[in-house]
Amino acid sequence: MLKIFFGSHPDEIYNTEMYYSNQYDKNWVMEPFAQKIIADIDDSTVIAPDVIKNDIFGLFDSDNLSAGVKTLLLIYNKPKMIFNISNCGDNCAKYILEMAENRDITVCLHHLMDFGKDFSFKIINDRRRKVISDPMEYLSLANKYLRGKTNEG
Amino acid sequence: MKGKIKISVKNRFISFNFTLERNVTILTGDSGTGKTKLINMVRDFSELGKSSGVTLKCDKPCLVLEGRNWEAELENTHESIIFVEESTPFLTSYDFARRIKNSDNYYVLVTREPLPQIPYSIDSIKQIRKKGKNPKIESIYKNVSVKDISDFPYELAIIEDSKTGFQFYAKASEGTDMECISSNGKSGIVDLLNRNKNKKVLIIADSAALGSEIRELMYFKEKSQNKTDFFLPESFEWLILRSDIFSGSTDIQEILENPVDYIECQEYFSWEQYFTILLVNSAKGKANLEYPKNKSQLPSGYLNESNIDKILNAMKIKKK
Repeated sequence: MLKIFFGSHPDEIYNTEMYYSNQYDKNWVMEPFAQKIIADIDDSTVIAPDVIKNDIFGLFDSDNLSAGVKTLLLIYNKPKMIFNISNCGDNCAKYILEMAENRDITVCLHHLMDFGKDFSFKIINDRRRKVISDPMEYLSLANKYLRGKTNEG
Repeated sequence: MKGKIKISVKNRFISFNFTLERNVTILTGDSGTGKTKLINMVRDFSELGKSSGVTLKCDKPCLVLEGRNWEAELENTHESIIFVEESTPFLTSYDFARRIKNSDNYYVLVTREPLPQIPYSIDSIKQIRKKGKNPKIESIYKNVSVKDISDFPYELAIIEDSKTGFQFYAKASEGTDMECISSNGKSGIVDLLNRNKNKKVLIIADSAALGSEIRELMYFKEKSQNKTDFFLPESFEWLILRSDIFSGSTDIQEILENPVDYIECQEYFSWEQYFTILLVNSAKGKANLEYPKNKSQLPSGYLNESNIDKILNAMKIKKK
């Protein structure tokens, strides 16, 4: 189940790019899931550990993947940590839901990500535990928690 | 600083060409489009110039603002284009918003967070569209506003404004079946929409400062079953200035054709503020049209039938 906390969380990794640069494993990109998201989001092909190829940029290492892909790889490989998915575009949303199908993932969200029509997750601010799947309820909760006067993030 | 700013950034692999038309530009959108790449190239050029391997052409210095000393660096930066990358901790702070107000720089902010503390236009929200070695930077929210609301074919109008704008639309819709309510500001619009889910709704707001809300509003429009339309003039005062009430003033019409050439960003954080002052000054001495700077009470001259029609039709006017 995907659990979303709107706004800043004390245990959140906010700058996922920086965290990735200092913590990534060269073999992460060899996983089929990693190869799938790298192909779809970054239009690139994994050649070998830490070697990725793109028609425009040629060969590059995994530190040059997009912020969205890096964040997805962090969630995939460190599922117990809380990462900021506002570093991910809407084109990452389906992969976040996919990763949460078989395990619990908690993330922070600082904007209204579009998860499409079919989704279910929990918003966990204020110890809420109800599963939501209605876009209007999601919008209402995002508006409530992201527009609070005390939350700048 | 004022006017359009053209920027060209390229290296051996990729070339970004774009024009800034306002003091604040938000660069957002999907992952993998090249936002970070662009920021890295600007950073490389600002640190090492041509020897970085990046070519950057712009009439103003371009730099990436980051790190712990951002406040001091900002204090000493003038007439420049300042880029801020997503996940930069100060980007979402009220302190940053305060410091860029009344500054003479233009800003390109890479983020998906709404930044309600910064007034920015829906026209300033851009995304990079992948196109091989020459990606395009384009506005996301083009043509989201209806041009004609004169028949008021809605059950409810939510007016962002609570003062002169609300007074105008309430009067203009008298005798129709449409109810007018004010959201008392842009942040209250989504709440009102949620409370009126089954109605045919028209949202009237100033596009000049609606940037932080537009994503939520478009999401509501897309996901809800009911019909929601937007009427988003630059600002209510812009709409009046554009109407035939002021069509005789060539000065005003010249400004409206290219506002960016007239609006000094240090003086006016948002274009909405500029158009208010322009209307206040333009209406001085005109009977029943003198516009109050505090927008508290709309003068009666704007509420007669003829002028109501002129203002309502102003969005339809085709300019050169």
